[in-house]
Amino acid sequence: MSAREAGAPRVPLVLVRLKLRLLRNRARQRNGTIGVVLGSAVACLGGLTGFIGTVVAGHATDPRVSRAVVVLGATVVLVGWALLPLLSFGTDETLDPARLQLLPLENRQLIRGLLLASFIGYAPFAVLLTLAGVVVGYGSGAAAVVTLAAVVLLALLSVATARALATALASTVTSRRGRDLVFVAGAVIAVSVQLVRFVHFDHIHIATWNRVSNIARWTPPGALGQAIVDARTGHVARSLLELVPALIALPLLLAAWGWALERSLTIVTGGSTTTRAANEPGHTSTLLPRWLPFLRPTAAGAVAAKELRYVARDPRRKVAFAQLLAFGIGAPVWFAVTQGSLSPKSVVIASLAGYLALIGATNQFGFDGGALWLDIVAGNRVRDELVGKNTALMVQVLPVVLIGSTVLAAVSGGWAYIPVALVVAAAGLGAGLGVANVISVRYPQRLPETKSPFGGGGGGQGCVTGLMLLIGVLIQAVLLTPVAIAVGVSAARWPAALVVVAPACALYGYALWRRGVAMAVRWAWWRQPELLLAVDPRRGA
Amino acid sequence: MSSVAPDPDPPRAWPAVVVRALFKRYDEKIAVAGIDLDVPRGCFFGLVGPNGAGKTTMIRMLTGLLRPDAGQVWVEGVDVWMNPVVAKARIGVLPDEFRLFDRLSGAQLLEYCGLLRAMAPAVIAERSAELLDVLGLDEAAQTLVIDYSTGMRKKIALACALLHAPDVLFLDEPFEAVDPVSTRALRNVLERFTESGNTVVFSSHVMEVVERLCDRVGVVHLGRLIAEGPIDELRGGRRLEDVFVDLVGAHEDQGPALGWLGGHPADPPAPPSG
Repeated sequence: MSAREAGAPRVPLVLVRLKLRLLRNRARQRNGTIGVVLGSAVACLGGLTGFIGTVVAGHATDPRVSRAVVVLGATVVLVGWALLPLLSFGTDETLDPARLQLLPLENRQLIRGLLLASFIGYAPFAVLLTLAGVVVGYGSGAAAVVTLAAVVLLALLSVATARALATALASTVTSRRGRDLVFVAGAVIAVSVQLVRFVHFDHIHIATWNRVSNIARWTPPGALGQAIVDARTGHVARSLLELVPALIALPLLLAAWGWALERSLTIVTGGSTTTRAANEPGHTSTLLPRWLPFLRPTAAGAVAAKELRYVARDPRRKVAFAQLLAFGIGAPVWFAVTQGSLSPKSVVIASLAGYLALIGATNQFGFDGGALWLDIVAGNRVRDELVGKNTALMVQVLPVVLIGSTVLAAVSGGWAYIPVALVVAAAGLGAGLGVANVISVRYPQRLPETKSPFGGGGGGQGCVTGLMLLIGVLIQAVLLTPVAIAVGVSAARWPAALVVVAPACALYGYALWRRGVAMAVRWAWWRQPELLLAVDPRRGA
Repeated sequence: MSSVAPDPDPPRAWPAVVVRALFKRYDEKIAVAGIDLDVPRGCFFGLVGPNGAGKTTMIRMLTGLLRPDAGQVWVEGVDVWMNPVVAKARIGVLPDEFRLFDRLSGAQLLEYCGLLRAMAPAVIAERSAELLDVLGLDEAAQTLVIDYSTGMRKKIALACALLHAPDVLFLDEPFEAVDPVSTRALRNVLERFTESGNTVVFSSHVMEVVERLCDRVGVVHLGRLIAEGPIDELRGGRRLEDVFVDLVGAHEDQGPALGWLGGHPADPPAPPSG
């Protein structure tokens, strides 16, 4: 390769500086300074907590505790370091080797540089601080040398694993389908992390942790943790042996990484295409789904069909719908399983899924983004847009409510309440959408065009968005209170009255929805260009 | 380029596009600084100008996508900003750097556009099939638009713009980043479109394309229309590119700068003989 000119810095140093520069430049972006300050603060806090935690664990009275912390901790560090960069792909710009493809770099230089650069960042800083805590807490005397060696090996092993995995997947993850997949996987993992909260860690006996540690110690990172423990108790020879798996794994991983790097730079993987089977004879429409015969071939019908197709194809919408399913059906199932005896009236609870669906509805044009021009040049009316979008949401919510209420009815026997749940859900959704429609046109928010699976899942970004969301939720809550009170009181006192109350609520919801649509249309019918400007991520300020 | 709007009666006497005193400012920068323009019917009109001259801003204002600060636009005698729904029924648009609802397939996107324009489903199906065929997209009809190449995206967007049989077609850089085969397909469709008496207004900074296709040209520079007329008149026997460079006043002599560009390092060893 090309010889280095006199005075030119070494490649690994250049990459390290690139990483530092990218981190610093992030401060210049919109809301960047806040991000950098927040990131540094969280990293320092996390690192200090880790540092203190490991120092304390090193001096724990129960040796099983201090063992479990290093053996399991080492495994968690390795797995976390390997998986997290994959899920936040797109935030680390030195990560994608394709970006360095055109530079005349040798593989060895590249690997050294990327390895070093991987230690720069908020999360690595926190982890390194925690590892320093291990050295301080566990290493004393001769054991300090082994502890230090084990900790350094663990850091290198983690980075090498992360890099090898990321590079091998880089070609997959940069293709459209790969990104979609990672987006959904990321959201699922983010939700499952929430489930960890339900585990009562304080109820798990130390003996259990000890048993898990007994398994983990045979993995390379676990063995490093075990080496630290053994060095401390005087088994120096054994502890040195326990460094061997990592010493073998490290060069293997680096070799695998180098091989993947070479491959990813030379082999081009094309964008994958999705094809659908040709439509059946007799059904001329390819846009309007056959299984929704009530969607007419009108402008509003086309918008509704487009929205529904997007639920199946757009990862952001997919995740939103998955959340609706998880809460709308998951919560009733959880109720049915955990509560011993349910009142038949509890079926009505399933209608709350309608309320959940409103969360994303305050920015209905944000999802369209720059593509909204198609609707505007077609002269489409705001009314048709809103009716179509609202219909699509109703089509998503009502089946969820039906399934949720059926689950509850099967347990409680309150079959008669299923229609009530459906009508109340529709009423709530209608009233809420009335408000959401007005907010959608008055305060449209631009969604960032992001590749990151965690980016822009909500209504938008920034304080204004949050504020509008809050105001919207408050207005919706006020408007929905009569429905909640009427249904709640009559269900508790005179269940038979629901025959009258539920349709009355539906009328109320319909009236509010009509009012909301009219207000939104009056505001937006001649402001469509401004609406486009507001939601198009490539234009405007 | 008269400054008075033509007599609105009878409407058939109107040129295809009439622009009067069109003005747009972004913060400090004036993007379009008062443009007057008449585009006759059945004309293939080229809007040329350097990058940042205001072509895209102008086309977005002509098509109802960006509100002008001042000025008026009539398409086929209909005021685009006073009567947008009627005007838009007569306009087809292919903007620059457009996004599409790209998680629909090509055929679905066409149907979507047709239904938004209140067309009958049977007509949509018939015209879609024909457009996809002519543009060479029939095999990709069921593929999601997000997986299309740049040329295919331009072609499906052009199909969307043509589906409702508009009278005037506005195209912003339609041939940018499009391969020669797709360019040929696009050109053929556009030529057929103007032959039947319709009007095309398109922007480009590729002079060869403009020279080959257009019968009238307008030169935009710093937000002003600095020259306009039949292409042969404007050219006066010279190449359009030279006329254009003269008009926008580019400096051609680069002097001795970049002298190091020729200095190759030591030659690599000769390739093995075969």
